[in-house]
Amino acid sequence: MSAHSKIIFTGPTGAGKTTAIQSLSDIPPVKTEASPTEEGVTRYGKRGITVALDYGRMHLENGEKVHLYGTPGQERFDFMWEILSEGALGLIILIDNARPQPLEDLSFFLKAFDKMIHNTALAVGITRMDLKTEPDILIYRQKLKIHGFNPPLFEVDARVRRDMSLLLQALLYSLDPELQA
Amino acid sequence: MIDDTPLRVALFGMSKQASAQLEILFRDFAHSRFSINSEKEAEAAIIDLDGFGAMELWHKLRSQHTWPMLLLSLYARDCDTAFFVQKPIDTSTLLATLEKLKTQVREHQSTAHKNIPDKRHLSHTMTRASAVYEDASLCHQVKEINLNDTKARQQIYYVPDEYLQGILQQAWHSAKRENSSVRLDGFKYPLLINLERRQILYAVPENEIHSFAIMPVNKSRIKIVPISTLELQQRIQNPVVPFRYENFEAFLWRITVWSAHGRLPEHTDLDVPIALLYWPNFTRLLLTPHALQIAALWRKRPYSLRETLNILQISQCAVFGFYSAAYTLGQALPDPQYCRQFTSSTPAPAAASNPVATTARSLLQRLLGHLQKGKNT
Repeated sequence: MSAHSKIIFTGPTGAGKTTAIQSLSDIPPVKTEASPTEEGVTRYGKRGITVALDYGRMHLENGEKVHLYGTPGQERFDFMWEILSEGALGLIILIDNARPQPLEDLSFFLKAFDKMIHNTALAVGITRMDLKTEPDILIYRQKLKIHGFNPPLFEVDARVRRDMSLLLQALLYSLDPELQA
Repeated sequence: MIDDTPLRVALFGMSKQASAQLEILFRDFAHSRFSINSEKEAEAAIIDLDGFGAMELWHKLRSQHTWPMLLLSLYARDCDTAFFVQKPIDTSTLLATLEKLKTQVREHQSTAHKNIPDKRHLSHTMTRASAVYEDASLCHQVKEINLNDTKARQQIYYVPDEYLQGILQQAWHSAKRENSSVRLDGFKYPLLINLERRQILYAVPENEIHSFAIMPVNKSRIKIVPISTLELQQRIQNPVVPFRYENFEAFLWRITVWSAHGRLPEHTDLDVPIALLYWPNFTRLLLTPHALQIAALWRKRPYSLRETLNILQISQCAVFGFYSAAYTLGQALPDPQYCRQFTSSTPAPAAASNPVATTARSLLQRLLGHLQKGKNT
């Protein structure tokens, strides 16, 4: 896998990571087992642990592939995230607005992926705002600002390809505004 | 030799009334040199670009047919090889243009008949037209202006207060000042602004809203009336026709994009850096051309409108249209202090915003192209 060809989707369980990958993937998304790399094993002292990930893939015109990984929720295997993040193009955090504490969820993932965010780029999508309108986008902006971030922040429906595509495009332009499609 | 065979023309984006007027014109004034036909039978098309969704329709037709097309619009367009007549339509101009259209069709048919197709020329024509209109789907003024020409530069400005945009802004300020919802009279059905929910409720058809937005409004026709919560509830519960509910900011953004037509609010300084306070919620807004790209650049650091054009090499229409909408919603602001902070010692903008290695950029561009190729994008 090229070091520059994966995008990580994270967020709490039920936020729409699997669906988002399904919306963007050129193959049917799959649940896959991943194990820490040798480097990861050494660093974390974990051996023989595997973890279920959502996986999808985008096929570019020249045959190149971009891999889409959805992390497990925050309850499990958080050490995997950093390993997964190595060499990723960027991070998409999806937050389920209908969960009891969505702002706390956001804080959790910002802290968990702080290093990756600073090294690459971040975009945040808020899902299920049609079911629960509060907190609104303004509150999320303030929360992100408190954490020192001002990334693309969109209301999204993970089932809608356009929404997820725009979020991902914003992430790419954040990396380089002079990109020409 | 005079060709007496009528040119079969299909009409798109026109009301029944406009179609009927053209039918009379063709029959009584043009001596039936043109006829109105179905899409299937047509040899050419006339498209009114000012209707709602007309640009999308035009793009669709262009991909489906090789007809020559005559475009009608209120706004001057740099049509290059396409045919164009500006409204208000002068009958003689329209007929003269249609004669040119007819000549082209007949020459092309004649050439095809002789089995000497000039595909190279046709291809060139289509490509040029495609390039000219690539950014025009939401901007009605695509002609690039020489920004160093003081006189020509006046064309890039508009006065928001003269449009529906200005009325909506005034209504919103009034609602906040009075701390009450407001009703806008003067439309077919009143528009309601629900201050508490930050919503607009309207029953006016979308195409009429679009028509109101793109033309200067007779402000004396519109009245902004504060209304009680009781009246608001009564109107919601007993609507004359069902309301559409929309977030007010999303509505105002859309109206501003239409009113601005790729222009700037009057007195906007092209050389003052623009600070974009945060990313607009693009998935729920009318997306203007290159909006994501402009937002990303301005989130890196403020750049002036002129610098933005130079760095991104995109149309004035795209930059100005996006700025107008973001400025109207208070999301983009001129930042003169930033101007002083960054002096001539600042690195050149292009160099300053080029953090990505060439190989990575290449991958990102291919990925971006893949995403933008998607049907929903």
